[in-house]
Amino acid sequence: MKRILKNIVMTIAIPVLVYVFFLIVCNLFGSPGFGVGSDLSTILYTTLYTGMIALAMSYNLTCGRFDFSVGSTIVLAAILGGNIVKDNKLGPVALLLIIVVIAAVLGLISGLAYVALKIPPMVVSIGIAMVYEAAGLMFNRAKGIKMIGNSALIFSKPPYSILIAGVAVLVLIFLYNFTSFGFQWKMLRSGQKIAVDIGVNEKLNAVICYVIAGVLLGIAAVMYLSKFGTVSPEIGLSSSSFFMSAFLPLFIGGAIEKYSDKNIGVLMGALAQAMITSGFGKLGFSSSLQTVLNGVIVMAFLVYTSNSYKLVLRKLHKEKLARALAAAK
Amino acid sequence: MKKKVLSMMLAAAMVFSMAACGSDDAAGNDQGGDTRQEEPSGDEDQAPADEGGDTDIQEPAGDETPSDGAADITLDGSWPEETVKIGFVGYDQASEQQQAITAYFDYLCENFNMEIMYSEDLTDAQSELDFIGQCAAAGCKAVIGYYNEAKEQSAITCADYQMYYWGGFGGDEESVAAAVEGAGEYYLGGYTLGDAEYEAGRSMAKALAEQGCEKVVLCSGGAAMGVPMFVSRKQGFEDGVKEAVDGGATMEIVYEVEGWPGTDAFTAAQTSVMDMDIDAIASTFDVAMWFQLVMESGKADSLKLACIGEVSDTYYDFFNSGLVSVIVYDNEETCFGNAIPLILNAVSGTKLVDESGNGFLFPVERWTITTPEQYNSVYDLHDAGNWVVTAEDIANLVVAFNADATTDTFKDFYGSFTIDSVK
Repeated sequence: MKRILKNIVMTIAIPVLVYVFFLIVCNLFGSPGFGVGSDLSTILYTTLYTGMIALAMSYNLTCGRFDFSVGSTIVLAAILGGNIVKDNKLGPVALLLIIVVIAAVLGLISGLAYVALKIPPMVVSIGIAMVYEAAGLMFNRAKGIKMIGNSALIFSKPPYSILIAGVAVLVLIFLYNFTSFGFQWKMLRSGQKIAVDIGVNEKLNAVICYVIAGVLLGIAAVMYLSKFGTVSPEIGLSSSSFFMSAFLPLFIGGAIEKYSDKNIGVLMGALAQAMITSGFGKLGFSSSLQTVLNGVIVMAFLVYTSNSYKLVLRKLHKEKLARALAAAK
Repeated sequence: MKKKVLSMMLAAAMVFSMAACGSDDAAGNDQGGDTRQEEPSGDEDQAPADEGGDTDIQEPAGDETPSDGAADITLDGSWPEETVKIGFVGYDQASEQQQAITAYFDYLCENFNMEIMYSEDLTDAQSELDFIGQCAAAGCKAVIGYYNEAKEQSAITCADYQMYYWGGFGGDEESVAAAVEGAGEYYLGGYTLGDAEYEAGRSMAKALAEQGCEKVVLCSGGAAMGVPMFVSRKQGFEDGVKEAVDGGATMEIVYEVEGWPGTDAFTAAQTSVMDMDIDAIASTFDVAMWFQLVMESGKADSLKLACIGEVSDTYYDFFNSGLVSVIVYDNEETCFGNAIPLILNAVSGTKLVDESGNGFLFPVERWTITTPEQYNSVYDLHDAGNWVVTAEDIANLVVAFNADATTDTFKDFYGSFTIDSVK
């Protein structure tokens, strides 16, 4: 019971601390109302949207596959799927399904390209990103998709946003903890060579990871399109801006993982990130200052997570020393 | 012995090959020199300009005068006889402005024998100069500097490749002077809107003040990152607000949203704005990213949006509903289409020049659209497949079609357009 309580506390500690910090600071500096009303709805949207992207990246990045095509997949799926829905005057369910299926297919293509070409994933994904970006530009004469005011755009707000993100996370938790895919993925993450030597099909696992990432990116694309009503083509790898805010949730998720589930950890990280962004906005920080501070936070967190084992070692050493001294007495 | 013979043969082969290269080079140089001499050389070809005082046209390089065959020329895409390839230096193929320009140039390509080679999205001076090199390799006769980071260096590089360059460098007279000096006859000139970006911001502020907007949010784009275009637009907007206040209006910028959409920070700032009691949101770039949020917030009837943008499908409904009330618009035909008659005249040997015999800056008016009638007049015209400046209008400014075409008629024509002249 004590262990469960500790795990729950550690899982929610970071977002709670961030919330309390910004609540105090915002009130001190004359900007009350942090985390309520429309601020809350933005935090929720950012958490789910960034959370989906961070989750998509987590399945590949932690296995050493940096996927540069994340942003271009979102853009291309939104443009292709959005235009199909718009042209055929379809509804919200069709919007969700079509974009998610297209994104999953794009993920499958990325995965197959990685497996078939046998070159570093970073290189493959840059090539794939450029192809997807170019396809988005060529489609619809570079006009992207504009669905402003369309009744199908319902997925940026509760209950629909929570519903689709919730279902996605539940499925991921099941896949991660209760299927052979999940166990094999964990083995590959821990030691690829050993896992392959004992019979894990690394290629199949990688392709499934890319497809899962595609589905999650499709959900992110639907949320983004629902929020802004428009998506423009990106070129020259500018689609990379879509996943830049997903790194902090990834790192926080990695740190929280030992107390909880990886997927929940990433979502908690996304919640913390959303509150940081919203808090900075509430305090009136300029975008350049926000960029600097976000960079500092990511770096500080990386420094902590990379060296946290030293604290544990020191603690163990102290305990061992204390035991030795006690025994000597 | 074998080695000695082999060495001698190799040495001989090397000598012959070097000699062969040398003779090729010499021939090439000679040819190059001759070609250069055959180009219209400023003083000789511009002699009529000097003699005539106000005469604005270079005489054709060939024996035939343009008017000789003018009556026989039709606008069916067969003139000029040799296809004129033109490079277009752009920065964002997805931008509505570049798409509008592309559509207009597509129309002109159906009427004149020319091809436009568009760049990828260029981001810096080096990539711009690299593209100019690619244009030369592709056989382009001229380059349109829609995007320009390398300033006069672009014009000079074009001249090195014997290509004409169009571009006004945002009205920067020092760059124009440097281009005239460095690129000489290959610099065609370009339009100026005065201090274009500054004036765009100022016009937007003044228009909002006239519409009675008191509390305004400004989306300043890349101003915080020091992007010159956005810095100027923001400064112009702030000065426009000051002028309005000095003139008795009540107006203030209550909040500034920095950067571009697509980031969490921008989304958070948008949410803050939606909670504010404001009259207008002015954007120094596109404003479409606000539509969905404004509609969902229920403020579509009380809020006005202003931007520097295009007359396009994107804004049609929102301008007519009153949500968008100001668009500062660079009309594609008058601002950018003027490159075509300048290029066609130059490549056919009748370059339009100023009284000094050089490429020149000429004023064009930027249109500030504030009523649905104004918006619809342009939109309906384009929607019906018509243009503010038609191929016939352009032909009338090309000496091969109209022997009376001069720099003055060119300047008068493009300088005369205002939003109210569109019917």
